[in-house]
Amino acid sequence: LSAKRGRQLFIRRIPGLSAIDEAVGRATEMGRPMLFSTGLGGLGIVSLQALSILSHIIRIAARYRARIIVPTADSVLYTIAEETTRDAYEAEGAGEAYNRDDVRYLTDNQFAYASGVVGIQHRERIASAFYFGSFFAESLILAENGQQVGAIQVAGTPQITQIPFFIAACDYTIIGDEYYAASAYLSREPTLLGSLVGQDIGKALILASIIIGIIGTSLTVAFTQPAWVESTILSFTNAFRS
Amino acid sequence: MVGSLTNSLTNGTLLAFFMPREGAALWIFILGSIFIGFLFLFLLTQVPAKFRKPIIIGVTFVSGWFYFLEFMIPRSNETMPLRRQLIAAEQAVWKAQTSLHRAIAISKERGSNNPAVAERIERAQGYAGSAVPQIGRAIEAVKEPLSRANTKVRDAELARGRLGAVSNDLPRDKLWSIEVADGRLVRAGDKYARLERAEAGLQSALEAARDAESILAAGAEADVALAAAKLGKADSGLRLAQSATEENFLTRYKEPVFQVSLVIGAFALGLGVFGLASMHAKTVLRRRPGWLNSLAFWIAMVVMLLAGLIKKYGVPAASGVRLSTGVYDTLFYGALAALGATMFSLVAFYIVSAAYRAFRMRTTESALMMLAAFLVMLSLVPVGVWLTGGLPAAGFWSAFRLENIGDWIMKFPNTAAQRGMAFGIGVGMLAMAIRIWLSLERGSYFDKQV
Repeated sequence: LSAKRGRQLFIRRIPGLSAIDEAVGRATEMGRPMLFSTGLGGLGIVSLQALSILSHIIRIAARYRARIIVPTADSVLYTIAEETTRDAYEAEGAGEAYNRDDVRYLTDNQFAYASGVVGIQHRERIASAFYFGSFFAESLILAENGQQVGAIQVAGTPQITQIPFFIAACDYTIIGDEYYAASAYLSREPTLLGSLVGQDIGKALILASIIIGIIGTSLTVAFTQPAWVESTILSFTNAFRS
Repeated sequence: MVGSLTNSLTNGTLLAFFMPREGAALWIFILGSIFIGFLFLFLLTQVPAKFRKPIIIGVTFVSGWFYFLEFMIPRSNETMPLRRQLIAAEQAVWKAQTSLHRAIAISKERGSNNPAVAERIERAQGYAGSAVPQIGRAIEAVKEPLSRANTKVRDAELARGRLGAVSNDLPRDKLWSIEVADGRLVRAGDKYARLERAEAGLQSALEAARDAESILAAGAEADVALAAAKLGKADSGLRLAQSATEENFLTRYKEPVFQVSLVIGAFALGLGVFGLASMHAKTVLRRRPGWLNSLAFWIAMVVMLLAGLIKKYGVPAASGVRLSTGVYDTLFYGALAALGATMFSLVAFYIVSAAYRAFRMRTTESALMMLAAFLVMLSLVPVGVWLTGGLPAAGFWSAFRLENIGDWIMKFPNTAAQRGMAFGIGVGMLAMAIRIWLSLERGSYFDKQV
């Protein structure tokens, strides 16, 4: 509500999201396509967030008439990605630049999908690659091949186990909950910014409860269990008494 | 509204639409359903964007409410007394388990003769002792709903019995009535079986809690590990009973709602394959660069499709083994699985090249990362253990042995960082889910506030 009333809310800079413009600009200058992979996840919170970012990237790309290829591994997601892409092109008045074949359903098989995406990366000689969504063992295959073709790469996933691979192989990586801050960060809509602040308040509350829990448990353990604590307290008490 | 829909369903008026059909009527029904399905999809694609988005928002909102209410609405009143007893019994068992775990920890730290161990065991015995009558009361509480469910099963059996045996000579409406009665009997039977499972879980929990109490009665001499195992069994029994009573009036619709999403997914799969096939067909027909790859796609798709269909519907050979099974297995396990394994094995090489780039010390962060990785890797190989093998195995200096350093890095800084991220991701996901539910999210569909 305070964001809607015009209060300026501060969001720290997220380099990965700020690099999106640079990646699109590079592809435009080089005249080569970009690639946006939504990973293996089906329709869910993670994938919908990926589509929000895709929509933003396509809008920038559409302004420069840059081409973006979107291979998907889930058929339901494919239909939504197709519509999202078309809508984003039309919203920028570049409906004629939209190519239906650039949004593709490849397969739901993990490594068949990986090989399909790698094939696109090499054949199309992509200039920029974006990996947003749920990734598993194929994450490093995609990112390393993108690196081999010289693409600028931006990745983001809430999968904790895959983040190290993206950090090692990509130019920019969005870590942890930064992933869910993307739509607020990119759109700067007051409602979304407010929800981001709400998120942070939630995290602060969790942190406070963790700290209270740690103190409570530590005190319980310290004053009831270990003999050395008890003997230390006793020796201090005796020292003061004497 | 839900009530009237439920009545329509149980009275058979709505279900009559799905009455079994045969012959020409069956074919008309199938073709009609396909036609209506495609007509619905066609009309949906023709809806202007300004109306389509409110439809999506509405469906999202209603679906969200359905799952929210299913989760939040209290379970049926019938099993409320039972659930109260279950919660009380679970708390007592949990307290007994916690006391025992603490006794085990103290015993390891200060020896089993420590008075604190005996005190914890005594406490655990008290909690296990209080759990026993609570579980007994829960067993009493399950008897009444069980008896009611039994009566319902008998009524349903009698109603079904009055309708007689199924025969081809019976008129269709009579057959349909039999099907509806069968459905009622199955539902009543399901409920009875669920409550029976709850009772069985409670009986097992009661027995285990009694055993734990008698084991713990030996005081400091008690077999603590065995008592903990018995309490674990009691906990499992209580959980089984609880899961058997977790149902409200919306729960039964979860499965049909899931089926609807599966049907939508099946349509989408068709669209996905059609899109891919048409793209490759265009590439082949127009001889675009790389058209041979597209041709390979078409050949692979057609051959695999035929192999799958022949495997499913092919005629068995004289030996009883389908010849087509061999073709399918060769293609699936010999080609597809092998290609997948090849792709996966590439990860090993990519890890090396990615690690090489990541570990170049260009910044303080990468230097720290390299140092941590170096220590962890060294702690996991024999030479690392050998390097600091001269340090004592216990005491202050043991902390500087490489295997202990590696273990500490993995257990403390690494776990702490991962848990911190997991908390952030969890809160972020919750916020995102609420934004989608209330259509506040932008991007995929909602480019501006609706």
